[in-house]
Amino acid sequence: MGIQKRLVGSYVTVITITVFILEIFLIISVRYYYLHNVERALWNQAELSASFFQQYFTGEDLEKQSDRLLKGFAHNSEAQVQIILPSGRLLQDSSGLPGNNTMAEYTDVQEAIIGQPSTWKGKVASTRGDILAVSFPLQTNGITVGVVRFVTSLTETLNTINRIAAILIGVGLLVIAIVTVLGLLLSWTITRSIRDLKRAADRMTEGDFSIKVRKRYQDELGSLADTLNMMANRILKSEQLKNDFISSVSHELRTPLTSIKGWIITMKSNGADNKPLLLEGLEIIDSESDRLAHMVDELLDFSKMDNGRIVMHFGPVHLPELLDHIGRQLAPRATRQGISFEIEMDKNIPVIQADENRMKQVFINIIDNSLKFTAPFGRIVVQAHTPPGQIVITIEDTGSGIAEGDLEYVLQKFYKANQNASGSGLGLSISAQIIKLHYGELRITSEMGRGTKVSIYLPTEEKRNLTIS
Amino acid sequence: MFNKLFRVGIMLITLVLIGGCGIPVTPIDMIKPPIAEGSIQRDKISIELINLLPVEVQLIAPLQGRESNDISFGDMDGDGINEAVVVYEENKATGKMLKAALFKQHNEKWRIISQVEGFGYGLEYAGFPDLDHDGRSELVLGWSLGEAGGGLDVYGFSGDELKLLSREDYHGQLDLE
Repeated sequence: MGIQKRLVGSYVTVITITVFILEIFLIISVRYYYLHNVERALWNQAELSASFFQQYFTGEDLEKQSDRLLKGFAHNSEAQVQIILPSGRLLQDSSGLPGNNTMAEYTDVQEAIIGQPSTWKGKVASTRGDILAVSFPLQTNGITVGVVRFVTSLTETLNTINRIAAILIGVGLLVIAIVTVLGLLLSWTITRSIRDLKRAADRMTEGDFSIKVRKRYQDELGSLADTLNMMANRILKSEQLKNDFISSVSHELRTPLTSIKGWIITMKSNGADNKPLLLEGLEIIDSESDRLAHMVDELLDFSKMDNGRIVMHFGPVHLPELLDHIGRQLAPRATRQGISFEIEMDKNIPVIQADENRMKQVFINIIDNSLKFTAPFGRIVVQAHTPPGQIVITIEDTGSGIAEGDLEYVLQKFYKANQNASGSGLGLSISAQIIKLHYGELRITSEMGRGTKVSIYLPTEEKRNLTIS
Repeated sequence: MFNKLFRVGIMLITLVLIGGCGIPVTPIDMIKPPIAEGSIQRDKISIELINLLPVEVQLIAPLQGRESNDISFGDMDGDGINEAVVVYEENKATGKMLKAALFKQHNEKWRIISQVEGFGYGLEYAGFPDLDHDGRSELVLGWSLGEAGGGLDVYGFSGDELKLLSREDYHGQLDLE
């Protein structure tokens, strides 16, 4: 069942029950009020007549004064007034009913004859509709000499009650109708938003993320629409990022391939007689295939890291040794580029537990970056020192630096400050991940035009155990 | 939500009105002459007497009498100071009730010294004639039951309260003295 049906249904149910209870209550009240008041009025008149008789008219015989009494009793009343003898014989009747009728069959008359005022309600064959009768004993010195009986037709009263009941029921139905319409409107405002959301979600399922959900109200559904829009936006953005990455990676892979292909063609055509050309070609092909292999390794690393499948092989690593080794490896390139490359280390750097190959990858990556962005006559300094509990390695260059706006993104995967720069945009991201897997931290500070400083914080053995436990 | 609370409130109020406080007054019992404060120019004594009566009662003037006024004066105890009688109608839950109140002046102050009940539809006569010619007036109240005739109550003053001397019926015109 739809939300609209459920909402309207429950609303109408509640209202119907409420109105129903109210109607029953009101109709019973009105009925009771009318009948009770009619009875009370009759009772009062009968009591007044009987008590007046008892006080003043006891001297004379009832039969003799009955004519006069009837006029007096009926004086203030619209009701039919009867005077009945204790035998049950009708003595006088204000509506001209023939005398000598016996009234003893009515319970109120029977009660009054034995001295108890009483009422009776019911149907009489000779009249139309229900009647209400009140009988009071007429007493002389405690002896009942007769009965005065006030009789009214209830037709008018019951008609009035029915009319009021009809009005009440009509109003109740009107209320239910109004509430139903209001409920439909109300639920429509809710289901409309939900339908919008569903339509948008359907479109997104089909892959169309450019759709925007319309936000109709500032409510929970409104914020859901916002969330959905935001989600679509992010998906679009990451899609964009992915496309950029693929195109840049293809480009990156293509450049060495083109170079290799070109040299092979050159060597094929005239490499046979030209030995130096052959050697140079082979040299270039070697380095270019290294570049390719490096890039493919990076991609593999990245995909592993993204799936959480990368495994660290921890072993004892002596950082000064490692850095020395890297220094020796990269010094020729620095010299070739005319950059001074220095490594300064505290002698007391302890041996730590780390994945040596991964650490090497990180340092080479960062220093390679520095070499890439530092002009000739620049300077790259690698320092390592040990504040208590950790080892800090800083790689500082006098390169081009990173713009402030780009700084916060450089650790993100695929991010490249310059889309045309070479590389996959994964290097720094992977390095930061590796340091993180060593329970350390990688921070970058930079100033445009002045240089960049990369700081790696690694916990020492004791500290790391503490952190882990 | 508010609607529901409102409805429940109405129901409760109706329930309290009808269930808790008995049947409300019938429309016919609510018919009363408007209370025009200050507009009726009554003398000081009338105001003083009316203030002594229970609130929300209605004064009844006799249909006949020497003063067609709702207050009659007469000396019942022979001390030379007039007493006053006021007949009024009281609305009770069981119906209307006729009552007569006798006031006596004492040190310039009026107070109710006796109240008696009346019968019938209305007051025919209220006054202080001296029926037994002993120099002291009797309180005579004539109640009416329409064409059936009326009842005449004669009260004397004994000790400090009213004493019923006679109660009889009369027919036709009242003729006292």
